[in-house]
Amino acid sequence: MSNIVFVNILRFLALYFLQVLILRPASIGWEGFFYVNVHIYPLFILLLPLRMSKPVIMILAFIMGLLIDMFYDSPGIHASALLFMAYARSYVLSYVEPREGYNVNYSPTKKRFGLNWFFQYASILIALQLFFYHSVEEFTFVYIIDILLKTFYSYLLTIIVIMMVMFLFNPTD
Amino acid sequence: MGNLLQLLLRYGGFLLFLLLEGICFYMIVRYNKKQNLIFTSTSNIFVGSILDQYDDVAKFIRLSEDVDLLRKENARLKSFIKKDLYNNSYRLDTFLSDSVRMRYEYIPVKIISNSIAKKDNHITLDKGTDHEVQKHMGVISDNGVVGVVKNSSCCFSSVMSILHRQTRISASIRSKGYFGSLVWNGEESRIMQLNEIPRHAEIIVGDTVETSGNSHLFPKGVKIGIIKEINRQEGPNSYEIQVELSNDIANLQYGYVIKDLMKKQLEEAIDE
Repeated sequence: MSNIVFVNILRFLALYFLQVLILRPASIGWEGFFYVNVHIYPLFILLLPLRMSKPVIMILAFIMGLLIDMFYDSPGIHASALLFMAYARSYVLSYVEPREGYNVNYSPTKKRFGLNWFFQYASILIALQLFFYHSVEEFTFVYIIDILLKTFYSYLLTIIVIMMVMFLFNPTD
Repeated sequence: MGNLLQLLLRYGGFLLFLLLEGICFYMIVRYNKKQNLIFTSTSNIFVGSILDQYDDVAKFIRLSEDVDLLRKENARLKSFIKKDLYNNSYRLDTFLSDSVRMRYEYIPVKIISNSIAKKDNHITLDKGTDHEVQKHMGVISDNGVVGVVKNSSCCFSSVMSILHRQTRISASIRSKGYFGSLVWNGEESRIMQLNEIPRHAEIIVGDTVETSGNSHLFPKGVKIGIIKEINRQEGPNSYEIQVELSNDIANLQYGYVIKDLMKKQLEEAIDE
């Protein structure tokens, strides 16, 4: 029990600092070399235990989003997108539910439920999060083409990075 | 209380989501420059269009008030029309300010009942003796002659419409001077008959018929209609002329009662 809590706290900190210290400079053109907008921090919400109640997940998402926003200097934008993803998580979970159902003591990881399942689960939620993020970032659907293009490119990169992380660490919980 | 708690448990997730999203959007709009600009300009457009529509509705509601105001103004201005002023000058050196006197005053009225279907039609006005509307005053509208006041109480008055078989209105043909009397045969509501125009008068279809000013009910030159048909009958000494009214009595809403300020002087002179 305390193991899961400890793992999640550690994951929270690791993903947070990975995002704000490495991926954020990259996204705004690190030393002017390249432009990559990768969101790794939603992985924390993705991997929270299945039995965790929805309000707690949303509050955690809200807090994490605000902390990310502090570094991105965009109060509320990441938070609203991550909050939306946290809210959608339970619906996506029931949408991709395997035939034998879930063991509520598990966390939704690649190791527990398999690569295919995890890829499906992660790709839907990441797509939702990125689309919401870019919509709020533009704040108008006049630039819907821009929103969709940005969502598409950051989606490809984010999914690749997240799957790499999952293969690298392959966490059980 | 238990129900409320159950409600919170069931929809608590959604409510919490809405609450936190609300906080997020507040912060987005409050602290992000670009989003703030978009939000303010969009809400300005939105609020602007709502206010615009509200303004249109308010204007529409105020419309009848405005119409009233304009008609009062119209009535006031009508009494200053130069040709209707009484000319006081008889010598070349009369001062200009003394040379004319106001002759007619106009009282704006609303028509509250009307008929055209009968042989003898009457109209009711919303003003009476309290508003200086008296018996034997002429009533006109913006397009022409309406009738003559027959009776009035404190607040209403009854008008004999020109569509009445006893109507006799002294009418003349504009710029030709011949005058006759205008009557109604009780048939069509837009056609009246002009009698007593002598046979030697040169008139054509399309000539304008106006009040002659002989009856003292109406000032000279109020438009009545145009000549539609001229019958040159054998025998009598005058034409029988069909006049198409410029005034559609069937859709009258407003009118003016004409008050002759010099009526008493006129009657004295005639009686003596």
